[in-house]
Amino acid sequence: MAMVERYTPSARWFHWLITGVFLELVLSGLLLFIPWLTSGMVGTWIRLIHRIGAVILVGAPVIFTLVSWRRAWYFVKEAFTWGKADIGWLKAAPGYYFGGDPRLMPPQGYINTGMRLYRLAILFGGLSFVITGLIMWFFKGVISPEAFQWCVIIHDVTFIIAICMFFLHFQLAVFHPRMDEGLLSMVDGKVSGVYARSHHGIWYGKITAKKEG
Amino acid sequence: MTPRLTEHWHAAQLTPNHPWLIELQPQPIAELGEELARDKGIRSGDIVEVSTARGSIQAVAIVTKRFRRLRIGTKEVDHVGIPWHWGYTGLSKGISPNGSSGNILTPHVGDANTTIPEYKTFLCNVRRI
Amino acid sequence: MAKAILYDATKCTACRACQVACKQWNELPAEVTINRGTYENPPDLSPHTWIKIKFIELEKEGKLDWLFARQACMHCTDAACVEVCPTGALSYHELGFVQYEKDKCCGCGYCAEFCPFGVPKLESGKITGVGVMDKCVFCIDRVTNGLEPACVKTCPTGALTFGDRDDLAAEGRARVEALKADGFSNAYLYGDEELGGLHVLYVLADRPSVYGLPEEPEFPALASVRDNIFRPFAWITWGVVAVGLALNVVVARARQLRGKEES
Repeated sequence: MAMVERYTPSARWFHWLITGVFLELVLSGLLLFIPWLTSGMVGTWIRLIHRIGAVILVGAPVIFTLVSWRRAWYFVKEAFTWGKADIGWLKAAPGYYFGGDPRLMPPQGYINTGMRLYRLAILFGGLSFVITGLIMWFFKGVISPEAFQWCVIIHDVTFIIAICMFFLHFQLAVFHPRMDEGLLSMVDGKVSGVYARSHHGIWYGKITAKKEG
Repeated sequence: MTPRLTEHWHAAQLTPNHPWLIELQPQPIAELGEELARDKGIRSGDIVEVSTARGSIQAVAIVTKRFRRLRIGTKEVDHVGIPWHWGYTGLSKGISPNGSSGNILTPHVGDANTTIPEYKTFLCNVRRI
Repeated sequence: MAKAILYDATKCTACRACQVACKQWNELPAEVTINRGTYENPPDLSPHTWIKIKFIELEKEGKLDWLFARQACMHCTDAACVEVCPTGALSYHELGFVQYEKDKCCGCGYCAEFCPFGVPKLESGKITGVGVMDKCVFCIDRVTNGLEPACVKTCPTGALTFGDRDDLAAEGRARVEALKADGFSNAYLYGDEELGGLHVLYVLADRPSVYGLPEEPEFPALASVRDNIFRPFAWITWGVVAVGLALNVVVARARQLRGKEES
């Protein structure tokens, strides 16, 4: 069966750029989170690198939106568009992801419910990081100490959750036996028709209908 | 009148050249009471001009509760305190071009026996610049 | 044996020899200041100004008091700055004060935001964040060599004294009682119990708020939450999630293989 295009070049470039920046931010953030690992000038440099990463993390989506606002809007809209397929996914997910009968999972759209949830996590987590981060960066001494302290705490909590989400994302993309084409699809943009039909049936139906029609 | 400050000593030969002392008392000041300040529309931090028959200098006003309007007989008398620690030269010069030295304002009157100048009290005007 | 400084605000004449002695001993540069309408200068503590005297004119019941208050690191026993410092630059000395190793400071500024007294001050680049904090270090190099801190040494009135904390606290309490007997009914020894006990004790003639000190300084709850709860929680959570995800892969792979065998 033929290969199907799933991710455009710009989508893939964007994904890997964000991956790289995010990992840099996670590493620098983690080093800063661990006491005594970042003394003196080492700590100062790591904070500087963290800030550079933050600028890229904010700048890249902004540029993407300016270049292709329609797709940026669609990216966000898809995260908030929920339907019947999602309820079916929620019911079938535990069994499915632990290797149960794959036929029990109802057909999914371009992104399945799990990906939708992950996208929401990215959007809200990203907002949380950026807002608290910006406040800690530029408004130190301007806002009250209590407000600053809360920003530190919220940034911490978001960090804890973000690492968990990243572990999940990484496991699914790289290790999970059912998501075998996930990683490569983000490299060359394609999945097999078999994969597309079994994992994103509704979307596959739409694009094959379009080809025929 | 011309009080002394803790941070400086005498006229502007020595202490207005010392960074740690200038940090504490950087500029010539004119201390005045709240009633006088209110009458003249002067607030702490304003630059004021203090003038006498002999001349005038500029200084930073400090409005303080420590100076009270005095009732002497039937008259009401206010006073302005000008330390005499600044001059026309040094790391900390005066504010006005003439160096804000208190000695510009003082009368050239001396004690007949010792010739010590009567520097301490004289009539002046103060106004906000 | 914990040491402390006792500052008797009622004996202070605001001569500010302490400000100059501190600058001289620690080789700190003078700040460029202007007169803002007060004797107080510099306007605030900074990485180059570790101690300053506040001037307070207080009119009470027709009487005027010119009160003076020392402002510098209070060397808390429960110091929020030590708790939140990510590099360990701030730590407790065995003599009880908060010591500071400037080389370890990474310039994050958390100490400045968590201190209840607003003591640590930073100078840092707004964009790059490169910067370093500085504050009073209790003249650690003098105190560990049998000398008094520079401010104490130079104080001409004996408003500042240095010694064992227990002795100074007792002295302070006695002085407060004497002040009360003299009619200063609000006299108070600040630092006796606050924040586990401060290593700079203040004999005050009036309530702390009159002197610009917080009446009930608190150790910010968020500071200990971060260190004692979040850090271990983060590692535990990540560990559990990682193990869980690994198990998920193992189980899913096993069942998938079994599915292939059966079909």
